[in-house]
Amino acid sequence: MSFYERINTAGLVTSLLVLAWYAMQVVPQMGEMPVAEIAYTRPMIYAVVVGVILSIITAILVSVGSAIWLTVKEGKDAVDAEFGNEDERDKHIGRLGDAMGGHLLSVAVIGALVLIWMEYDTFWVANCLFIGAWSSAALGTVIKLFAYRGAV
Amino acid sequence: MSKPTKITNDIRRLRFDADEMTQAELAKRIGVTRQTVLAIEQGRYSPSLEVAFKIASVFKVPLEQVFQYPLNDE
Repeated sequence: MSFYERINTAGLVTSLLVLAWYAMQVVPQMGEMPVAEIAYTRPMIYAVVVGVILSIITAILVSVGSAIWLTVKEGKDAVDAEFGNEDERDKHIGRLGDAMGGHLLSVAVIGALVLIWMEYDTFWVANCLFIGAWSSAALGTVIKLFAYRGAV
Repeated sequence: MSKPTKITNDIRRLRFDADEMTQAELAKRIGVTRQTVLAIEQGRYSPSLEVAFKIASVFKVPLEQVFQYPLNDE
């Protein structure tokens, strides 16, 4: 597993945990009160901020852990060769994942516009954008991981 | 997802002929990661022309001795 594969895997796990936490805060309220009264704003802000911070911390931990493991297993030269050297295949896979994720984000934005036009509550609009942004990032990461393992 | 490439290569044999050059050594000399050399060698990734020429240069052979593209198998 390459350095960028490990970073992407860690990022996907982190974002899954953050989304699960957000769902645990919001979903239980949905059956108990009108959506206009659901307290989703603070959990959403926490999910975004904590998600960004956690992804940075996870990337650092994975990098340091990988460097130590690679140094012990193959020596310092292997670390120099592996780290920070994003080559043309990494860039190609990165572009592929970002492009596919971008398509999904476009769908989410159009969906949010439709919800606004139809005068749905801001709860639905905000969650459409939040889930759309999360899904686009997750889809992009999954495609990158498949690409690293498979056809590219 | 792109289809596996039809381009074949002789990198494994060329590495063997070059004193069993490792994938890591080849990767270092052409400026890519070992995983990319592995993907090229297994036909899962078609490198750019620049990397293809660098590989040929490392083994001091013409490009067509490294990569082949079957044109008549449709």
